[in-house]
Order: sequence, then structure tokens, then C-alpha cells
Amino acid sequence: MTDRRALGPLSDDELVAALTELGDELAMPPRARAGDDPALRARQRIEVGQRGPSAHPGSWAALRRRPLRRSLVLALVALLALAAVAAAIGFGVPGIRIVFAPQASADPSGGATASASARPTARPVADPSSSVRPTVPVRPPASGGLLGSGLGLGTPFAVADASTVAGLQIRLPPDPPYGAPAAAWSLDGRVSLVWPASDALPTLREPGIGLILAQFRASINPGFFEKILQPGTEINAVVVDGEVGWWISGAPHDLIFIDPSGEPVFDSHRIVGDTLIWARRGVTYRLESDLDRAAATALAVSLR
Amino acid sequence: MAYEELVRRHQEVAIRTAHLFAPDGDAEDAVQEAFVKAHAALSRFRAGAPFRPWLLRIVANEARNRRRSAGRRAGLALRSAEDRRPGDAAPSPESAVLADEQRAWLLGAVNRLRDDDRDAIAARFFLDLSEAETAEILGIPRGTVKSRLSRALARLREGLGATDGRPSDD
Repeated sequence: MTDRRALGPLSDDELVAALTELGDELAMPPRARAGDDPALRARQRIEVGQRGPSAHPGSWAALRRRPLRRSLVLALVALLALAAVAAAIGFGVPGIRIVFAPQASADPSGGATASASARPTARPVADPSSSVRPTVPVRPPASGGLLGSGLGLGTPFAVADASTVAGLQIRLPPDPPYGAPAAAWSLDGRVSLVWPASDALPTLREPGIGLILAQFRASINPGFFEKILQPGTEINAVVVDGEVGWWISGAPHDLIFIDPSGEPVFDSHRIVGDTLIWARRGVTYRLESDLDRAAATALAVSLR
Repeated sequence: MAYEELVRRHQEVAIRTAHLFAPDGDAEDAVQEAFVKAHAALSRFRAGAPFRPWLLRIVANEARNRRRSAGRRAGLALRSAEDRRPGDAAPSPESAVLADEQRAWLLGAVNRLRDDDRDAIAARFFLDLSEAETAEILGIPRGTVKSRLSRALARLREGLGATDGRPSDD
């Protein structure tokens, strides 16, 4: 029994227990402002690219202290329009939710890019190659020899086991012309197959890689995936196998998914190319390649 | 917006962290600032790494910066009986390690510690973080956590010993 009169003689374990108990008894700051919400206020500041003093809910005085740059306003208008369209028609397929994350910086060039290219539309793009294609920082060469290593695709396994690992019938594009996948990876129930670059599959930003095709059953993951689109990313509706899908091109986009424990996992470093996502019969597909939109859609339709 | 949802999941522990690291400051304000900074730093987040300690480190850094610039030094306080959440009873006399007055005494000794000692104790014992999370939030190598805590506990013991750990009524 602990000596209740003296703290000095406490053993190490007792002192640790006493501190843990003390932690439960500490006063926490009162929620100073009713309805205050740091996450909401942070988001409001991020949306307008404001890095200055905090703006309390309902008070836009802080924003008026300095004029917003024209390009920033244009970017904001474009993003609001995009968000409105997203809210109206609902971007995403099962297992992937597409959301927009305006950059926190007030960089005028970034704003101009957004206003120029973030144009939501459900009609075909006449010339996808005209999209802004910003340069992506060059990653160090992959350490492993397996195609796709270093991209955060998960754990490698034998391509032949793909359907077993995924728990669904994996569909592949015809060989020829696309060839056979050279590597298979699994992460939290998502199986990604990686094809080497070839005549039919131009090389991606990751040298040697021609195609990354992920397939997963959305229902196996209680969470969701999210595409975070930055200004400069373009999204267009496409039809794949009679289902609505999305063609995401332009600036790199981040992917966030919530793992089964509820922990958000950022997948922002493995984005290597333009992406086509769609769902078919409960399976969500994500195709990354350097193909243009028409060729990527043709590949998607060819899966067997 | 997704980012807002993501950080809100960790908002309560973030506010608690900001308060523990800078009891004088406006914890909610520090957390808001940290959330904005974390958003700007998302591209530097290592894919696949746990998000919570990464976010809390940014929160802790923000709080510590504010503590430095404020130049004040107040301490943590015990909550009053009215602060208790429903069902969140005080430790029963049988299970409690400390009597009320000893709890206050121990807290006084914690408050008198150097900032880095107090931060280590706050992260490991008040926030109940693992050693790995403690290392990340403090920005020190994992192997240093044990020695940092050991030093902090030794100094805490010294602080208690200097007054024999006895409340004034003894």
C-alpha cells in the first residue's frame, strides 16, 4: 500500500502510476468560444489561402484586412463551382470519394492554374493532351528490383495469386498487346498489378512502368478512399462499360483512405500518372497510366 | 471537405496536447494554426505512416513556439469537481494512488520542472502516448525517450524530495 503521506518514497512504478492518474485529473481548457471548432476554422483559412491571424466563425474581418489577389479570387470561384458540381452530381465510385483540397498557399501561379484548368464537365475533352502537366519532383530510384517497389503499393506477392489475394476475380487486359503484369502488390485488401512499359503502354513518370491497375472490393473496407484534387487537376466524367467513371488528369492528386482502424492513411507519394477510376459489379478499379483518355478507356473496356 | 474531417478525428487530443505543452496559451487557437500548417505540409507526410503522431508533433511544436514567445510560465491545474464529465468519477479512495493533497503536490513538482522534462512527462503519461509516439511528438530519437523520461522522473523525484513530498499540513 502506498504511503499516502509522502510522495518521496514512491517506487518508479508507483510514481508512473501516480503521474498517469494525475493526467486524468488535469483541467483541460474550457471550450472558450461556444461552437468554436479549430478544424472548421482551419478549413476556412485553407480555402482562401489565408495564413494570417485566425478568423473566428462568422467574422470575416480578418480576411478583409488584406485584399485577395485576383487570381486567388478566380481560383476560389472555380473551386466553389467545382464543389457545387461535385455536390450536385456526386463525384466518386464505390470505395473512392473525390474531394477537392485547395492548396493552402496563396501562390498566384497556383491560383491561375486552378482557374484555367479546374473546369468540371461531364462532356468529353477535345484534347486531353492540352491539360496542364506540371513537372513532378523526381523520386530517388526504387531500391527493390520488383516493378513498382518504392511506390507504397504494399506487399508483393505472386501475380498468379492475384485473384486469391484480392478475394475477387481479377480482370486483365488482353495480352497482346498489353503484355502480362510483372508484379503484384497488396495493401489493405487493394491489389495492384504493375505492367512494364511497352509499345502499347508508354512509360510513366516512374521509369519502366507502363500501367498500374488496382482492383478492390469497396465493401471489404469499411472506410473509404478519397482523391484529394489540387488546383491544376482536371476531372471529367467518362463512361466505362456503361458505368460512370472519372478521368483525373493534370496535376498530381493525393489519395487518402481510411484504414479499418479508422486511421487516415495518406497515399500521396505513389501517384504516377493520369488516372481512370470506375466501378463494375461491386469492384472498384483504378487505372494509372500515361495513356490518353480514349486509350485508357479502351483499355478499361478490354478487361477480361 | 476531407481534410477537415480528418483532423477533426484528432481534434480533442490535439487540444489536449496544445494545452499540456502550453498551459498559458489559447489551445484552440494553437490547434487551428497547427491544422493549417499540417495541411501545407501534407506533401511531406510519409506515405503509410501513422497520422496521429505526425499531426500531434505539429501541434506540439506550435504550442511550444507560442510558449517561448509568450515568455510566461504558468502551470497545469487540476480540474475541479464541476469539470468532471458524466460518468467520469474521481478515482475511488481504494484505487487511487494519490490522496487529493498529494495530487496537488505532485502537480506542483511537475510544474516546476524544466520545459523539456515536463514535455516528456506530459507526452508519455498525461497523453498516454507510446514510446514511439512520444519520440515523434518530441522530435527526438526513439532510443532517447527512455533516458529523457528517466531524467525527468529523477528530477521530479528531486523536486518532491526537496520538500520531503509532504503537504504542508504534515
